[in-house]
Amino acid sequence: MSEFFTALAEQHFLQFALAAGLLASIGCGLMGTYVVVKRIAFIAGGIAHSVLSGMGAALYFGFDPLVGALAAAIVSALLIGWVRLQWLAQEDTMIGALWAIGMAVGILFISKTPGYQTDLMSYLFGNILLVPERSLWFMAALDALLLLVVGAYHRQFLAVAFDEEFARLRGISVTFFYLLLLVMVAVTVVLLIQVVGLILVLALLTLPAAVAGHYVHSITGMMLVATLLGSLVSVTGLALSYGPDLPAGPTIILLAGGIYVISSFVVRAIAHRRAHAVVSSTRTGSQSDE
Amino acid sequence: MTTARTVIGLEDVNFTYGASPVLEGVTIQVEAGEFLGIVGPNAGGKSTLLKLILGLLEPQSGRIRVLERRPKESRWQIGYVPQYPSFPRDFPVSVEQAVLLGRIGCGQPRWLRGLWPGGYSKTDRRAAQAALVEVEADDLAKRQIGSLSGGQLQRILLARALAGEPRILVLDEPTANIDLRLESDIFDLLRRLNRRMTILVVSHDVGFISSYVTRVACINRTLVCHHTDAVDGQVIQDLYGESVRMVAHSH
Repeated sequence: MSEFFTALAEQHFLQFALAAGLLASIGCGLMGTYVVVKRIAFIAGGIAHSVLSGMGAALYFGFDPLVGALAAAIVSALLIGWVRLQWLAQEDTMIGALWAIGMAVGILFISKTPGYQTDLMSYLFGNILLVPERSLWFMAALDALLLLVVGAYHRQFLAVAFDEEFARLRGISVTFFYLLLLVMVAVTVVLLIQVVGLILVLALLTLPAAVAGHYVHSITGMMLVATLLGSLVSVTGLALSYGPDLPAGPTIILLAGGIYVISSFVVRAIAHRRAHAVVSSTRTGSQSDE
Repeated sequence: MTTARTVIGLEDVNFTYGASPVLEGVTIQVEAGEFLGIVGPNAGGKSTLLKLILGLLEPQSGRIRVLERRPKESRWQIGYVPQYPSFPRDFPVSVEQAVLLGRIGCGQPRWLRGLWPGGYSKTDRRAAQAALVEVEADDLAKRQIGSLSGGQLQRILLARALAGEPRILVLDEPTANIDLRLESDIFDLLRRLNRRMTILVVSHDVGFISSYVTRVACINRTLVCHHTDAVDGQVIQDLYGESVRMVAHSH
């Protein structure tokens, strides 16, 4: 760890990696909370994986893969959102199909792009140590956009996440805000792909928010705690992976996953103990009445 | 017949979800200040009728007007209390936040309703607080929605509907999941609310609601209306198609 902090003071690429981790945490805290409470992790997974089609196409045609990723993420968010809102039967199978088609298209493009095959791993599993400075600006701009939209429409997002029928009765266009929510999830996916790659993106999107949901019971609280937790795991994961030269993405995910599993057991144990305490206190109470 | 006091008007409305008709030739006018009970057997079309009035469903034919406009344009002035909460009970939201959602769309220009950015105003918070006081649940404001009992939750759903200061209150089986003593509490509250708003309530319990409502609409694919004093054993038997045992009761 100390080796990491010494290197951090000197190495630009490490400073960039750290900044990327922190910037990604903001998106993961904001949108991860909605993904968890609205239970759309599967939909978010579909969006994340079909992003590969855009990255592959961008490589093949010679654009910036990040721009391709953003375009593909938004298109697949709208497509999957439309399926969820309009498809009457087996929407999960349809979303699964789009998920797989997106990846297949991406891999075909990448395989036909000369000289780029080696990059496939970094798209799938992320390479935070190679984040260039201009990507940081791009990430900061996307974060600003997310903060702005969530700030302006947090009431509408809460209404749509909580109770779609009631939201519709209050004059909210559920279709519009649901699709907007998915597009913002798509933007977040692109933010996080820089850090952990598109296979592991779902974990970083949901796990910090899910852990936050164990302890705080408001949307705003969950967003704050999830952002802090996301920052903590990405900085710690980066630091832990640096010494033994491990890939940073999987280290970060392992950390987040470990915290989630442990936290789930802790919460269960607390609930058990509380239930026992309630039962035994009422029993001793009724005995003393006799 | 449509009069100046008509708040809800249905003319020859037909609706089907697919193969068989759910509602056939339904015509009814509800006047301002009425307390209308809607009764009928299961799957007789009671909830469908409410959804048509709320603009959540469109009829295949016929005309529906609510407050002199199409249902979709007027529904923000309707307070709706669903039969079952349509949200997960473990959703991280406090009672206060849930009731405040009923204020969305209030006091904003028509074209921006539901698109207005930002948070709640002081007026919104006062109205939500007043709604909680009205249903005698202001002490629950800071509780999590998941920690409430069935009866408490029903009051909160009512408060959410009242927070928007509706002109019409629509309730779908508001007392299906709570015990009898709470049931009369809720109906006493509705009777008080009826002094300032029109109320439509769906119920399976004809005998019970007839002592509260001013008129009963009996729905079993078609609709027949009765004034409360005319609901007797014969009417109920015709509606349900078999002998129904009634217990004479007075309140």
